[in-house]
Amino acid sequence: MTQQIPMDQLQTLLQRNLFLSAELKVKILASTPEKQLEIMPLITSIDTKQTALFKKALAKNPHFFADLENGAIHQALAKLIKEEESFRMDEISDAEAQLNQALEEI
Amino acid sequence: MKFLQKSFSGVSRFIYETNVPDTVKSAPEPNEAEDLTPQQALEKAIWAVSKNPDGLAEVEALEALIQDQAALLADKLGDNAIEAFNAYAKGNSIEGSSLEISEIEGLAENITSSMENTEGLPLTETEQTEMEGMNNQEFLQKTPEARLRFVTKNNTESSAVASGTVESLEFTFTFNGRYNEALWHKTTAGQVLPAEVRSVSVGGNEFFREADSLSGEFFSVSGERLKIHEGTTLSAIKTGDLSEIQANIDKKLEDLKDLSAGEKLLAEFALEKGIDPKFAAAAFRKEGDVIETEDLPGGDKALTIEYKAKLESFLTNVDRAKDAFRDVSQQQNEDSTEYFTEIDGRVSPEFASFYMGFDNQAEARRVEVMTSAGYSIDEISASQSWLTKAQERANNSGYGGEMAEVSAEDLQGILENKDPAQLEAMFKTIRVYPPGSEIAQKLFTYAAMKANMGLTNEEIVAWGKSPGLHNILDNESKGKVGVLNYTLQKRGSTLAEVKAGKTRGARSSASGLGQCLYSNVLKYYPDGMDGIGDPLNEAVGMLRYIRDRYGSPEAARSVYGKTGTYVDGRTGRVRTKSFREGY
Repeated sequence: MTQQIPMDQLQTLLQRNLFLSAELKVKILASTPEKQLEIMPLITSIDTKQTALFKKALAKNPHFFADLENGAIHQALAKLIKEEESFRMDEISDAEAQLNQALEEI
Repeated sequence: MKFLQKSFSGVSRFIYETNVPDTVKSAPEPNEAEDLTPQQALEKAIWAVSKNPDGLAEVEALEALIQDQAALLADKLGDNAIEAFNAYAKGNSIEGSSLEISEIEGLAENITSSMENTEGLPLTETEQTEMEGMNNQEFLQKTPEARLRFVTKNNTESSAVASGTVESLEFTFTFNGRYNEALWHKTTAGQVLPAEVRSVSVGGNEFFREADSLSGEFFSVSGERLKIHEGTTLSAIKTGDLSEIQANIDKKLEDLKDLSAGEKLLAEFALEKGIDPKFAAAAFRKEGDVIETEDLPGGDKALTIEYKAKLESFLTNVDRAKDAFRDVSQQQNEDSTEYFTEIDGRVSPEFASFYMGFDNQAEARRVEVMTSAGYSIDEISASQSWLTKAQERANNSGYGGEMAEVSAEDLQGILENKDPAQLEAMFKTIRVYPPGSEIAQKLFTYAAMKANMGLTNEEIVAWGKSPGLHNILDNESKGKVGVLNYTLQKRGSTLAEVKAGKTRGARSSASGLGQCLYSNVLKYYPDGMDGIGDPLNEAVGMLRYIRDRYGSPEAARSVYGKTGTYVDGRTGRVRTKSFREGY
């Protein structure tokens, strides 16, 4: 009989892992019990190291989690602004090109 | 200062090592109230650890809160979490963090590459032994997700293929060094590849799953079914989204809401295989048959594993029949390349009628099934006359069956010998026909006459002398009558045993001039198994197989020992050969 990892244990560990992508987490949950068994020590090891790392960060900054969240929001906003800027620049270029064409036609 | 803190106040190594800010160190114990915010609870736990860093309960409580917060954050930030943490660590020094982060990233990379590594766990000794003697019916009792690993060279995991990370894979049916012919014979690509796989390429030819099928078989554009053999390599494996197909199946199931729970499960499985559920139910079930179901936790029902395996075997057989139907259909209507196995999701009456014959069902059963599947009397009658005509044409095509009568007159202009009986008596005394020799050419010319393949006299002469044919003969048997495949020889099998259908577990049952497997011996030798060891039977069988599979010896030679496409020497159609061994 194949040894199996309890699914809820695996789910919990993956749920709180900030270093694996969502796509990879889905893939891990859908993989065979053998594969899950193979990578379980790696997932547990990340969990231990991640907790220790966050403990250090919290000791220095008790608002670490809130700051991390805010930082992520800022990053996302900055990214959006950059995309918006690039979109507007494209629009301006298009408008400029149309204007030039109209001028040439005159 | 840190040293002073440690020695003077007696506070822990924890404070020294982690630089707890003054705000935390000097803070009074936070509120004891129950309704702390997560942030307050966290701060309280940090405070508690700072006061008692070696306290197991305090450390565990803090770690639990950290893990809860991490889960919340991962949920909120998703894939942005990694980027956000890196940015935070860059702007806020966390002691020793760069080393720890790189360690974590290393572990994450290992997990990623492990998941991308398509090689599954090799089969254990027990699994090898189990697979050595397993037949397809038993194999189908494994879950669909588990099957692929057992029949691929690198034990490829189905989940890896489904995720789209696998580009190619190679099939094998050899376990503990023994080829399991019985398993190979019935196992199909549709049975082992996950539903996500929508198309594959074999030797440069593409095969697709039908648009309405989740887990059915793969067919080329011209309708040829993908067959897998030892060593068949699939490349360009393409996966796709199943939601639309699943939605269509769900919609069709809604129309079948009047069925019983068991009937619905049967219909659902047929739809998943892309087969008309009404026809499937009628053809699979005989009167009085009970659909075997079992109760699942929660009150739902499922087909029992054994019953589902039988049903899957039947549904695969329907897909298998499509191949043969295409040939018959095209023979029946040679000017047309059209053949319809299904029209608007309903099995065409011609195919329904053909399938029942393909499945060796009696005439009465054919009518019973078609009536039960909802075909009108006119449809049944028309399909039967279509099938009769098709069968007549097929019988005239010379595949299988008895040998043609050859008279002295027939031999005129073909062979210098004038007495067929004398010729046949002579052939029986010769045990080796050296490829390309005069006697070998004579045997195969005469066999081409006897094989009843509808060849003209010129074609008969050309086949007898064909360099392609003699080249294959050389490679297969060196022209030795009744020679056994080396795996049979290795096991000490005798010709008498092989004729009696006993192979001592050898990986191949091939024997004779053309090294025909049992399945082909039964199909093409005029005397079936009794023909093994008889030069004329073996020559006729070899020629019939070539005619059926390749159309001509030259076409067979063109893809000998490799996979790829060839032009059928009889029909002119482009066909695919998906196995490398022989022809």
